[in-house]
Amino acid sequence: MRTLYIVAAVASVGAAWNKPSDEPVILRGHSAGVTAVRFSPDDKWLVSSSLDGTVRLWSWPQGRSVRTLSYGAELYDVAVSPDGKLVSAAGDGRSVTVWNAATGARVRQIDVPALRSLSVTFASDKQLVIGSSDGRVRVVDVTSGRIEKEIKAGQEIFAVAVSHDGRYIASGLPLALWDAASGARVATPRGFAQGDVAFSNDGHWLASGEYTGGGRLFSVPSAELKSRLATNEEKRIQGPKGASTIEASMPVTAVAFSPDNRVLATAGGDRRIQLWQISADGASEKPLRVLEGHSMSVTGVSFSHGGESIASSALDHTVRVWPTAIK
Amino acid sequence: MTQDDHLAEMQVSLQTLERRVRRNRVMTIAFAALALTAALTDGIPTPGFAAVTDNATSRNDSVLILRELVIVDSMGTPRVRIAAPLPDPIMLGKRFNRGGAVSGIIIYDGEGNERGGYVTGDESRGAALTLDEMMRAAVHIGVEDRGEAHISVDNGLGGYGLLGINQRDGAFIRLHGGGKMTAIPDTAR
Repeated sequence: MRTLYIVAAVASVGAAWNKPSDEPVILRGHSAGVTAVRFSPDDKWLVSSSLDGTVRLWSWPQGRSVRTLSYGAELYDVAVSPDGKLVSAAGDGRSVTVWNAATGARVRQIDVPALRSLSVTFASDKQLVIGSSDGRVRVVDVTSGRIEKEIKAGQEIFAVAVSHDGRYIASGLPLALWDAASGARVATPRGFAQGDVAFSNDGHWLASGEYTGGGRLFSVPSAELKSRLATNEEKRIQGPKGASTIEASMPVTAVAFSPDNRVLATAGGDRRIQLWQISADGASEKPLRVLEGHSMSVTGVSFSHGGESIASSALDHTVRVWPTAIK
Repeated sequence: MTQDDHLAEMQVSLQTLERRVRRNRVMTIAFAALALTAALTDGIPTPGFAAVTDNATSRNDSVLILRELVIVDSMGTPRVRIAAPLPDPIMLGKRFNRGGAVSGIIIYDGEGNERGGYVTGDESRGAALTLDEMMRAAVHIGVEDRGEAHISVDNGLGGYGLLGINQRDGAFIRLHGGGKMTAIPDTAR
């Protein structure tokens, strides 16, 4: 009997060692849906925003919640400054908050003349770009809190991104590419309703996640459509000839490029994260990997800067960090 | 008037006064008891009044008067909301502009996404019942305050069916599918 116990214990340890390579680390702590997640520039921590009105900082790879920053109303997006010193979140209400990541101290509260802000990203350590419910993209000086530029960009700005060289701002909805210096429109890529936008690190590609379903890949700055990324899910339907099934296109709420620009992650209403290989000419047909485990819609994805992990946030109250396992 | 008559009259007056004093004493005690009851029950029983009042300070404990009621599931996710007005819709973790204030009932799925409602406009005076896919209304039953009503279904990709009626045209059907539009009555002829 004793031998049996030992065999069972050894088998158990073996099972832990032989964990499937795509099994994620699950970060729990938010009390409502998690709306966005980002890795810090040094990959030593992650930050997430939630409908519970808080931002949480998580140590990585330990996966412990190390700090909770309170905003007090629903939060829809979160950003980390390139130097990793500041964290900012956009949410319900007429202000966007900037915190010191190391201390959790509130550095600045930026007044935004809109009912709510839906997206946020840092253009530099000193510049924040905010997308709001009044259809404006605002470029804000973090030090003074002053709005430096205001672009009338669309209906409701659910997504903003800044190219890594700082030349372009992309916004949605509707999808548009702007010259960051002048605020002039550069191009109008053919997208519909954007849940997210992202530039590749080399500046060649712009990806959009479509609320109407699927992802799209465009060249920059020409805005030429290079790929449509299907995010379909089988659904039972009633048709003219009776019941059958179709592949329904599911909304995409999050897109992110791997640091080497070769992989694009899409995620959304189908609860999955799909990793697509991008060829040199921007073509992509089938996902390389599909990461499944979230029990509700995925709202955000972020690659680690080393490229070995990808974090996802979801309405199931969790953040998951997956090994990318792509050579 | 003799002295006896005068005494008799004074005696009647005295008796009247005594009765008044006794009556006032009873009324004082009765009012005191009533006041005490009111203080203890936080209200004076008024059987002749309507049970329901229109203001939010009703003291009838069988009626709940609120601006908003939210039913949540075991995860704390709102699943039903009755409110006047209703908040803007939330979908896939972001809140959208509704494009006009409405009051009524909203249903949400297990993720907290708005998936339908039974509402009236706060300004438009229209009434509507909707069932939503993710990100859009797929079934819409709407009626104006006067002159028009319709039922529509819509696949979000240009395909739709609409059964309507209005004061000018009467009843009509429009169907759009497979790149073709069909109308009844056929107004193209």
